[in-house]
Amino acid sequence: MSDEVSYSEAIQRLEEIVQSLERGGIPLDETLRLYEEGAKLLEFCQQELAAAEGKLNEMKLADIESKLAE
Amino acid sequence: MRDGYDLTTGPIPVGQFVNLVRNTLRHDKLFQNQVITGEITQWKRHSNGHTYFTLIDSDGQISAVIWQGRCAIDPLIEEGSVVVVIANLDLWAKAGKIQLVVNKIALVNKLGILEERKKQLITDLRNEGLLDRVRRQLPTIPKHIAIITGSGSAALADMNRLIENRWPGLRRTIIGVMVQGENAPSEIVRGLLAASKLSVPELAARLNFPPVDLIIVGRGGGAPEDLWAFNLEPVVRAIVAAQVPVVSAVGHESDLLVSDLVADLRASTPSNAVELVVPDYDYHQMLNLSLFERLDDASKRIIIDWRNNLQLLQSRLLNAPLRGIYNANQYVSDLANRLSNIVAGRLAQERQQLQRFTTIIQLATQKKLADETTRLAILDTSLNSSNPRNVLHRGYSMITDKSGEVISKTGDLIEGQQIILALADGSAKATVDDIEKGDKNE
Repeated sequence: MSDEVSYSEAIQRLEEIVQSLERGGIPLDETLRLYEEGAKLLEFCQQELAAAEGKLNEMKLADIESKLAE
Repeated sequence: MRDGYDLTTGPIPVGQFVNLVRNTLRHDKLFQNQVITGEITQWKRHSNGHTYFTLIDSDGQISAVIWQGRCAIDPLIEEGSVVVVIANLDLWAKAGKIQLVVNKIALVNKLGILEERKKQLITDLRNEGLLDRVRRQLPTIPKHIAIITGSGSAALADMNRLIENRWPGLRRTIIGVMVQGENAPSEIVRGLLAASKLSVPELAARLNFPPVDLIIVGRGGGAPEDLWAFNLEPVVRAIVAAQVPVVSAVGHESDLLVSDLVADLRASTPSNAVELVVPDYDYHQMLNLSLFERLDDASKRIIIDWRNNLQLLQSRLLNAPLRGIYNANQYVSDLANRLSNIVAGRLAQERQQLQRFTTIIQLATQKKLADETTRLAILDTSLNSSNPRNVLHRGYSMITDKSGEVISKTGDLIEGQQIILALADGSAKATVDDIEKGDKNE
C-alpha cells in the first residue's frame, strides 16, 4: 500500500501539474510530458472511484470465521 | 426434640446434634435470604466448579460457597472485592462448619471499580506508548469497509443510510457481534480479528472480496456499563493490533472510551464515523472533472503559444541559419526585443517625418494650386487671344487643303487645286485659278 500512489497523492500531484501548466513558461516537451502524466493520474483517480463500488455483505461472525478458516 | 440432657436415653450423638443445629438454621427466616456485605478473602474458584471464599470485616468473618451454576459471578470479583451477597446460613455437618450458601453476589460500587480499572488500563497503555503512537493513515477513498457492530441495530441502520447518501453502493461488510453483555468483549475481539484478516488480499479472496482497507467498530448509546466492552483490555489491544486503520464509534458524543483513545480515529457516534470516513462521491467526481478541464485548457493554451512561437522561429531561422536550435528560443526572444525596439524607434521617426511631409505637402499643394490658378488664367487669356477664329471675325479667312493643312504661302498652292476657306461663321470650297507670287520671301 505504501509504495503505491494513493488517491490523495494522485490528486495532489495533479493539482501541482495543473498549476505549473497554468503558470505557463514551460518548454514544449515538458508540457507534453506533464499532460501525459496528468492524464494517467486522472485515469488512476477514476479507477479509484470506480473501485469503491461494490456489494453490501452482512455476515455473521461465525460464518466469516469459518470461511476464513477454510 | 429434646431440650437438655436425659439420663434414660443417654447422650445425643454429635452428628445428630449438628444436624439438629442445621435444621434449626434452615428453618429460621433470620438466616435465610439474608443480605450481607463484606470484603472477599481467600477467593477460590475450584476446579469442581464451586467457588469458595470468606466474607470478612473488622468485626468478624464467615465462610461462603457459591455452588456451580447457582448464580452469575461478575468477572470483576476478585480477592479484596467488597460485595453484597444474598445467602442462606447453613451448617456443613461433616466439617461442623457454618457457612453462607450464596444465591446472588454483586460488587459494591461496581462502576467505581470499573472506572479504576479503566484508569489503570489507560495508564498502562500510555506507558507502553500506545496512546501517542503514530496512527495509521485512513484511505481517502475506502474501497472496502468492515463494520463491526450489533446486527439489526439502530446504529447499523443509521450508518447504512448515511453511507448510501454519501457514496451510493460503497462496498462494505457488516460483521454482526454482541456489543453488550458477557460475550461482547470476546465477540468484538473476534470481529476485529476477522476484519483484520480480511485486509489480507489472499484471505479476502476466499470470500471473493477485495481486501478490507478500513474498520469501523462501535455501537449506539447506552448506559456506561452497556458500553463497557470498549473499555476492556482485550478489545483495546485488538484495535491496536489490527492490520488496517480502525475507527472507534461508540455511544454518544459525551462517552469517551479507551477504544477511542487507541483507535486511528475517534468518531463521536456511529453516524459521525460515516461522516468522517466516507467521502462525498459527487464532490470527488467534480474534483476529477475540474482537474481534467484545467489540465486540458492549460495544455492547449501552451501548445497554441508554442505553435505561434515556432512559426515565428521558423521564419526567423531562415534569416539566421547559423544559430543553433538550442539558441533558437533565445534568438527569437532577442529578435522580438530588437524588433520591438526598432519598431518603437522607427515609429517615432516616421511620425516626425510624416508630420514634416504633411506640412510640406500641404504648403506645396497650396502653392501649386495658387500657381496653377494663375497659370490657367494666363493661359486662358493667351489662348483666347491666339484663337484664329477671333481673327476671322475681323474679316480674315484661313485656307486649308483637303487634308486640313493650313496654307499660308503661295508656294503651297497649285493652279486648279481645290482649297477650303474657313470663315467666321462657316466654310466654303474654292478652286485656285491663278497664282501671283509676291515680294516677300518668307
